[in-house]
Amino acid sequence: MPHEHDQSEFQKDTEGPDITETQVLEIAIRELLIEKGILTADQIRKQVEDWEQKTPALGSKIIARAWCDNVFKKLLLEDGTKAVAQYDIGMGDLELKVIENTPEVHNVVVCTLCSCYPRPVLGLPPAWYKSSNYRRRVIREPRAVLKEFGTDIPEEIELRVHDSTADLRYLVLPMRPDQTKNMTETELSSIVTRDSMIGVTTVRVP
Amino acid sequence: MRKKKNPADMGGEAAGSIDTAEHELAFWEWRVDAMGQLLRPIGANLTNTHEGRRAIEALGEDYEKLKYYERKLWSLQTLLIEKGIFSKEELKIKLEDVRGRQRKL
Repeated sequence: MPHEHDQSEFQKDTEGPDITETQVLEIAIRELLIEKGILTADQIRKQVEDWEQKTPALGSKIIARAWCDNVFKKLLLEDGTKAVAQYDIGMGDLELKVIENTPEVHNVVVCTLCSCYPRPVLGLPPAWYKSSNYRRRVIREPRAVLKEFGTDIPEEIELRVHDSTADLRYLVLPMRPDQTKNMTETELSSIVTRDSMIGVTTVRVP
Repeated sequence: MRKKKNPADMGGEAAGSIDTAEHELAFWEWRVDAMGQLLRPIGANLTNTHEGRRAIEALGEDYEKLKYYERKLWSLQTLLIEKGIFSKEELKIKLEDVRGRQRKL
């Protein structure tokens, strides 16, 4: 080797900006959609901004409310789509099904065929949720998968895996930890994590 | 004869450990997501989740080679050409135009 530098560091300067063929295709399709009058640049920008605002904090608020308000909890479990509408969360053409963890049953959610996820409530799914290995393994060996997330579900607890569909999205209602009696609804919402609402973890008091 | 396997139908197969690292979306990934959403029935009503998945599953062996939003982008391309929103030729010209502009940067 004539020198020790990584050659790729220099290629960026001699070959112009670092843009992949995938990015070229994205630009091309976007420009064609705009030129054909199907979408506008503003619409696309606004859509990105809107989705950047949607975070699991929305779901956390709903779970904390269900822990504090039995009437709301009942509605949430009976008709999740209707219950979250109280928070201005529109499920669009999707149905939301909320499943409750109990001392006897723990629930976990996957979409084995793609990446279906309760996006209006939790925002975009994490990369691992969409990964091939999660999709492959969680329906066959859920206890082992949960262990990788640091979650130990004892054999005597039933573990149910829910496979989402294009039209039906699941959200887990985790168990409220015992040591939280004196916490307010707002404090409670701060301990409800995204992963606990997917079911790969449980809610713990920090 | 055995039906060819749907590349997305992987549930239950043996696999290695799960990479739980968080991944921030790149700008182009956000935009692919946005375009996909805007074209659905509640938006421009040009396509829907089922068609999108059909186009993704038609990727066959390429399915595993492509990243998540690359598959989505390929599926958009397939469906928009199929529906006559733009032709293959128009896309080819546009791709050359985009590449040309990038070279000048």
